[in-house]
Amino acid sequence: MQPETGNAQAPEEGLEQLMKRYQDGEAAAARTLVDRLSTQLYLFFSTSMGNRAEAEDMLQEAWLRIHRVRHTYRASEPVLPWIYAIARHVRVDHYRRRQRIARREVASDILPEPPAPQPPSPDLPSFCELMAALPESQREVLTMLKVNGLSIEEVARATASTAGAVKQKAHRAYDRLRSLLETRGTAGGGGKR
Amino acid sequence: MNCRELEHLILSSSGAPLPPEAAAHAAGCERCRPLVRALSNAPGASPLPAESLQRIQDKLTADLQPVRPLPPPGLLSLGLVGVLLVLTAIGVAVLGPAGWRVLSLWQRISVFPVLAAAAGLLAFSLGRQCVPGSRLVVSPFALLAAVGGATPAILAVLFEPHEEAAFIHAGLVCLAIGLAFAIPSGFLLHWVLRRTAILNPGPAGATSGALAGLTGLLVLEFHCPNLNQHHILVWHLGAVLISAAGGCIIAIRAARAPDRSNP
Repeated sequence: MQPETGNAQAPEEGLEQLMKRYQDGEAAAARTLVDRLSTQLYLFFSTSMGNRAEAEDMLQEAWLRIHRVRHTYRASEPVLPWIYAIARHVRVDHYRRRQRIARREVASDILPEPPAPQPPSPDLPSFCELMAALPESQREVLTMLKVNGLSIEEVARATASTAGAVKQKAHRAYDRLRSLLETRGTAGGGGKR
Repeated sequence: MNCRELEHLILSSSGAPLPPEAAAHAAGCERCRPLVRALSNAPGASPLPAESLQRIQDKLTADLQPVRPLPPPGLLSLGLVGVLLVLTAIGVAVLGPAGWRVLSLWQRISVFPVLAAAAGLLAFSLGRQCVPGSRLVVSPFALLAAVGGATPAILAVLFEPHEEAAFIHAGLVCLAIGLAFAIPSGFLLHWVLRRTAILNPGPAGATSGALAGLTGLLVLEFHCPNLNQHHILVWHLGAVLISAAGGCIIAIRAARAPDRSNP
């Protein structure tokens, strides 16, 4: 369903060992973690915000926060939910800051840019276009599941939620996407529900 | 295979191709085909500028020192419960156990285990809320609602209502005592959690406040000889309610302050 998953790109066991070494103060471990996780984190930010420059800023901010609270990682726990929980918080903070600025400023040129367009498909809206139509909480869950390749359990941990709540949000997102696709005329007729 | 079953498969398939039956359904279903296609168009990873990565790596490794990891979640929760027990013991030692003496055996063996269970559940939840990426069995607000609903219900069953001449005056005294123990308890809980990283300040603050309020409630149950149901429900539990609301507000405001230590 997606090009690659977070797990496939960075095996969980290796990440745990790297985090432990990072906590022990090994610079090489810190560098490897940045190498291995930054692409996925950048994808997470750019899919949600749709702006490469902002995504880069957020990536840097996320790593600084990870660095500041690296002692809160527990060796027995999976790394990805811990990382994404912090990344998600950076994104939420950034989003709130942007909202505040947008409220204060009248000029429209500082308003958030729309999500970056995907390679065009003749009859289908782009993934980012579809994501933009979803409420924030559903977009976040679907991005983590389908773009970053996290499992339901990992998304639940990262969003301080339960697996049941994540599934519910995903199903609601699918319902909304179906309606959107039908409205756009990309689907017609009844299903086999 | 129907549309809902296909959604379940899409959810559980972490990037793996759909099984043949699901793929066949997606190909033949007008509602599922566009959805599956749209989801398969998820953007792939794009390369990051090497200088960006280098800059991040340099920042992280410039002052890299070994850090001491947090204690296990159970130990953190025990520390929270410990604060509650110590302050309750101090409260009983200072104010006396007049309330304990007038309780019936049934009330004694019901009230305190219920409050201990509530404190244990809240401490367990708070110990996890304070560490990013922890597994939550129940959402923090759902737990607060459950504890906040069950505790008054049980207390209402255990105590009888009766007329009371100085309901407000006596009640305000109890509320003041409850809050007088809840406030230092809140500070000590904050001290126990000082090295953690609270990402969702609202629920964590409310849970912390409720736990601090339970200290006040426990002290009152040991100390206050007034067994009027209304007095207990309004003034004793009022300390917990005020404390939880205060904890939530303070945590949110602290998190929005520009200079904060948590992420």
